[in-house]
Amino acid sequence: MKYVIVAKSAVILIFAAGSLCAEDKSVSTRLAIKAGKIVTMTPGAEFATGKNVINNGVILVSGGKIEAIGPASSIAIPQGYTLIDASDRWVTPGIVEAHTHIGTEGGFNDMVTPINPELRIDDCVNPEDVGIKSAVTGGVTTIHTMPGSGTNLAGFTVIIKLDTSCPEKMILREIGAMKIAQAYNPERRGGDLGRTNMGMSWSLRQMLKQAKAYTQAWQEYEQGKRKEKPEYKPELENMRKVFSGEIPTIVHTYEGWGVMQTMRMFNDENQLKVIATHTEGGGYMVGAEAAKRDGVSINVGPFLWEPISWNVEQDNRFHCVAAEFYKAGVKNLSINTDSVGFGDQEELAFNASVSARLGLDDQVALKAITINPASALGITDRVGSLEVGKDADIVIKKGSLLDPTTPVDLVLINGKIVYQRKGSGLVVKQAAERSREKE
Amino acid sequence: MKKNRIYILLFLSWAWLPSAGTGEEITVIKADRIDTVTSGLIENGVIVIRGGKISAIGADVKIPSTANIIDARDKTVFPGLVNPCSVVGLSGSPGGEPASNPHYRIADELYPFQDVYRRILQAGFTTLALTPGGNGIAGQGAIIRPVGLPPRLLPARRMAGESVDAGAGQTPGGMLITESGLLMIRFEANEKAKKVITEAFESAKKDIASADPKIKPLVRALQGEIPTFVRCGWPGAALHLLPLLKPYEKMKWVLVAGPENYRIAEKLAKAKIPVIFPAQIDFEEFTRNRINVPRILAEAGVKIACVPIMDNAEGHEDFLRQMAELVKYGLDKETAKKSMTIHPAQMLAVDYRLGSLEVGKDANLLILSADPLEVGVKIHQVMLEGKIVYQAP
Amino acid sequence: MHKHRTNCRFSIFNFLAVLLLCCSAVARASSPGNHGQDGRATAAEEKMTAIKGGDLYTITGGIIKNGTILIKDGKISGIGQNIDIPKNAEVIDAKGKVVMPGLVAATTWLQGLRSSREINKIADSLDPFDFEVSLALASGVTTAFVTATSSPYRRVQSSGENPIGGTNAVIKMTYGDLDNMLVKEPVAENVSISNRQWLGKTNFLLNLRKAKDYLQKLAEYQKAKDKDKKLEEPKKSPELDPYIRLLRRELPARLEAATADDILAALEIVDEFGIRVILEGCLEAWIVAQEIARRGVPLVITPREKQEPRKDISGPSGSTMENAAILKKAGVRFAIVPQVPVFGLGAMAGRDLMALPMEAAFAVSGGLDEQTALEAITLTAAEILGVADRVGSLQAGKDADIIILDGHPFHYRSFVELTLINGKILYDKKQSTYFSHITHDN
Repeated sequence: MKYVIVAKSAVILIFAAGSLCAEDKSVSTRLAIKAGKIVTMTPGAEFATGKNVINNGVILVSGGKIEAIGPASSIAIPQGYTLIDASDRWVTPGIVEAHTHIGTEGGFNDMVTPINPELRIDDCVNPEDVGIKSAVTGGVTTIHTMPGSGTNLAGFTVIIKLDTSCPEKMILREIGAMKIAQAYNPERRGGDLGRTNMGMSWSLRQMLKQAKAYTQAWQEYEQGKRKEKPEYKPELENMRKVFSGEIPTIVHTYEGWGVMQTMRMFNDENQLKVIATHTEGGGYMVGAEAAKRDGVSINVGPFLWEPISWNVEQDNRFHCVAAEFYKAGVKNLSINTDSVGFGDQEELAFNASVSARLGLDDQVALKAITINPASALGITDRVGSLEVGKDADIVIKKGSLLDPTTPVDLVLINGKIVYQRKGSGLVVKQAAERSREKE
Repeated sequence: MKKNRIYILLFLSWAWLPSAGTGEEITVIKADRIDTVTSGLIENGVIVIRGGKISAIGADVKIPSTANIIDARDKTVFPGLVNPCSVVGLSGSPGGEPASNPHYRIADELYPFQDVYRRILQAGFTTLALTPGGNGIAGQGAIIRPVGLPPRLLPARRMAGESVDAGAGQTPGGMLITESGLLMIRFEANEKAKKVITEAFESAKKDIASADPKIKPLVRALQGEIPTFVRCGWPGAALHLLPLLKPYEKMKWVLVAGPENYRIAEKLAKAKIPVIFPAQIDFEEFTRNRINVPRILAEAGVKIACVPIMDNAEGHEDFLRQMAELVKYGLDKETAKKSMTIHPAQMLAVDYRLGSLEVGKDANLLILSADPLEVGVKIHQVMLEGKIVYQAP
Repeated sequence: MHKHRTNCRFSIFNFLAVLLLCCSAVARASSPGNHGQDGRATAAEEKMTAIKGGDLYTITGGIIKNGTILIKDGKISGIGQNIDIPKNAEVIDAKGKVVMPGLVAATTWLQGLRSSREINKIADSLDPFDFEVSLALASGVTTAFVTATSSPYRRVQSSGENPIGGTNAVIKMTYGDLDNMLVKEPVAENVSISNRQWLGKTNFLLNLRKAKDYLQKLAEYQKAKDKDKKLEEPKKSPELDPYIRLLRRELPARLEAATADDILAALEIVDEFGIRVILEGCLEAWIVAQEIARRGVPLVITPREKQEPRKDISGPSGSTMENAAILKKAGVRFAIVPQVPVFGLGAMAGRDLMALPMEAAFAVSGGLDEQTALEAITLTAAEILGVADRVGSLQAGKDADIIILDGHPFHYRSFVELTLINGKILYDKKQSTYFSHITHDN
């Protein structure tokens, strides 16, 4: 135990130490992007009103954040700013993935006991993972990467940015969410304690009860409402973040009964923010119930439709999971790839395209890979839309993110170019070059 | 009433004895409803049975003075049911690659004293065709009376190597009505199966006079002397099968089909191939839409025979209810009745003696509490060749 | 009397008219031609069909805007912009739609042919009622290459001992119609010389050499046999037959070759023996594009298949989305198929043959021009399969295998609305349950 605390503290200290990585001084941290079309994904603003879409716009980036954004006519491009001329392209926020397993090493499934509140995957972040490099080529800039679903409570996830040039700065939030799995996988392999669904539910409820009490005890103590100092249990410390509302819970769940079970246990009984993920196998049948609950968001994928041979409605139709949830009124809807290796993380936008094809509104599909997952994870202060003050995570591409015929041309993370496609034809003029031109 | 009961008991005691032959016993059944199946319904009618056969039937028939009268007032008389394709009481199918074994005979493998036959008889089935398993040309099926009698009661004849066919005019009944009642083929769509069938029939064509037990049954099938049943599960496979059958025009083909075969109903009707099908309501693939396959086939003009959904005692006992359900979901009532009596008899080529209540045919009949397709109908008595072999308690 | 005579004349006229009608009815009823799904000769075989008003993506002759296609007896009988449509023709309105040839899948794994029993002849095992056929029609795939294997992961019924095996065929997705389903069997020799099967490549080369020797001896024998009657004809075992077919260039060999090494090794075989070859996989073909082009070897590629570059090779390695574009530039012909060439990959939509155009769309994102990308799922695929005389483009004389879409095939929202094979509508999105509930109102 002690060793773990020390190790963790060491890691935290390293992060806290900050700039241990060499800053690339040759590239200015100030950028201007001339954009043919900016789609901001601003929450609340609908595409049609023009608030979300800026034609012929400009974005100014400074210190890794968006400094200004608006029509070109209203923003002058200052001197000293590197200029990216994307006037024949679209500019969108970096894509946010809310459910993946890439970027970590050795964090998949710790199978000894079904409930593991003490485990956290941020210690396993691996910046060398090839999956990260290829993810960026698909415009993915922020990922929520997790332990697997072999156990009921696998541990805690991590949210990272895919800029590996400075690994120490990759972590956006070291405790991302509590990872729970409630259907199928844990039933098959989770050891002999609580092997059935009944057993799993019991174990989870016990843990939740315990964690809730622990959180309350410490809250009361810290607020002075309780004299006696509660017992310190390091394995429950991260559970406090869950019950204090700081972080959400993400639950791997399937089918109508499964999604209902998830919502009841986490949202209804414990007032926790919960992301029900996967949900295929008929989960959309309880979409109306999900829509009623503000604390519930739905993260669909990698299964995007119900196959006709075993869909719940048995009507010989291909039902799109995301579209059905949206139809039922679910507002916070996101899409994932559940990538485990190399080769599919970069196709998150295509998963959104497939859902759009199968009936999901285009605009909702775009939100489902940007602002919605950010909102579900509680990181909209940083990412998910192009707004002043937010991280400069930007994707430049000819055409919509949903269009498979055009590649991503350039990706910025925290205002830094992390990917530039060879042959993109994008002109990036350094500040010095620009000032020389002016002369 | 009491008098009749005594006579019934007397008949019961004689039920298991092989009949002496010409039998001057005369039995008369008087019933409110006699459903002949082929010639309509006779109300307040009479059936006269001599020597195990129907000698007269109608509303104005004279009742001989020496007749034993069975009073079936308030009852319905219906022909005994015929199951044209069953494996009840047989050991399992061999499986394996398609092969040609026309010399294999179910008749050599009967175990007649099984309970299951008694139960099937009591469920109203007076005739059963037992068919071999095995892929390709599986062998010869036998047509039996489901009674617990030794297969053949003429051992002398059997030792002489002759086939025993208790055909028209011949008595007594052992269990077997005919040893070589049909040729059974099990077909799957692949090159080998097609080859086995074509090669077998082509070689038989060249050798019509052969007495070889491997060739003779094929020749009989070729000439149409015995029907040829083909079990073919999928309509795709049936499409492969149909052109194979074309060159053999004299053959009497019967298709034992799987549920999806409704998709080729019209093709089957055009090829004039009758179909044997379980009495079940199916679901359209991947949906909950119910489809009444026997109805679809019948309406397309295919002659159908229905068999119990499960080929076991319970299945047979539940059969009339299954048929009633088919009617509930739209199968024409008259067609339903035919598909459990005269149609299977025709497919087995034993309609000269079985399958309907007509003069000259065996007195195989059921005395029922109501129309056979009424839900909840009870079987009161089962008569086999003039003898009551089952009396409901 | 007068009345009677009039009646007589009238009745004779009637009689003749009726006779004429009967004759024509008999003639029509007994006219030959394809029989429809239900076995009856349908009047549609006599009548013409016209598809009118759409943008015709002919593949061979550019896009004809607001064009017309005439169909007669299952073939395209006319195509152009201002063609007269016969009066009694059935007209399909394709205004605002895209009209294309039915898609051609250069590789397909059909569940129905993956039985546990050995299938030696696909023609004898085709099931036109297989639901995968329905899914193919709904996806616009009308022609497909199929192999008979007992598992989707073992591509060839062979062993290291005999690397040539199994059978293959080109089929059409003629739902319910067995007679018109098979196009050709076989169209290639299935060969497996991957490193997974020990001695596979060794035996392949050995047998090729044996076959080459035999053919040489046979040629010598043919020349000398008239002069020397004592000469014996050289013998060979039937095992060599497929190799002889290869050497005689009767059929191409379909070989899997993913890495640059494998591809070059395959090209060496082409150089040594002069056999026709089709390469599948070809992940690293971009690295040796010129070499491939020089031998004129066609490929079957999968743009979305990814392989990270190897760390132990200093040269280029791994996959790139630009594979197709690079190959095109070098002059290599290729067909495109998805990673899992099945219809209906469980719940993972967008990765299988039901999304075939999307695979080609990704090639476009890698720099491939749209025309070549379209060819890769139509005409070039048909050429590679040896059936381009019948399918793969909208041209007069070819089979009327046509799909009508509500948008450009590479647009992610486009759906197939109608699929015709041999001039018959076999899929109508509005009538089918699969996608009729999905309409794009925006």
